[in-house]
Amino acid sequence: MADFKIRKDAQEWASKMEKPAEWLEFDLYYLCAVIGLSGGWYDDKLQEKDARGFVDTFPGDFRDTKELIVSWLIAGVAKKRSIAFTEKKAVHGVLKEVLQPNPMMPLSNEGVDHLNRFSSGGFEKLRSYFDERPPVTFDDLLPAILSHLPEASK
Amino acid sequence: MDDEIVGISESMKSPERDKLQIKEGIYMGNAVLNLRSGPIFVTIGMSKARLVIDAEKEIREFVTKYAGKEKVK
Repeated sequence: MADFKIRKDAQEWASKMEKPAEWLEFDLYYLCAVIGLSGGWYDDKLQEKDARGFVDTFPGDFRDTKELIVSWLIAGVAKKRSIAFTEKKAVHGVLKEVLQPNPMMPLSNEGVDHLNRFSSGGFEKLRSYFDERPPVTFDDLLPAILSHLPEASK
Repeated sequence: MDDEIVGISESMKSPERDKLQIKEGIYMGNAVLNLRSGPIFVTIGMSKARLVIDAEKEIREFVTKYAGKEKVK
């Protein structure tokens, strides 16, 4: 099973930020993925050496919301390929590629790789919101992210 | 537009691949459904998930989850 991978520079960027005690590494990954998926920012150039695998299934509260993330990924991959949801054969192809028949981990290896790339693309945007200076605290994240979200996703 | 199934994954359990099998109200496969209200995704054991991401709502909910919690470095 493929690992969710977070960029090493994203880990470093967030390492000094004050975070909730219950914070999971997947929280940063998720935030970046939401940003990446909402704006269609996909990192084609992400390389194995630049990222670290940290978990191979949806952790904590994300177990209950994984279908939502999966659905956004399907939409994100379809949009990236300019596939409309009326194109039955093409949509079927996306589902076949992205999903696997495992309710606990519904994403295939290819699906995880796509999500890793959207998360990486999202991190690139997130970092740019802060002019390369990481936020001091988690509370600084929300206003910065919301002020930069693409209009289409608001 | 009528409600229509435009995609079904390989995990679909029914051999009848043109129909989404619904058993006791639970969807038994993975499918993208085109509904009048827009496309949705359904999968095993769940009802529906939106294919359109509302990033602002999701990020607000995410932050709310941690509101008031102790912060550490």
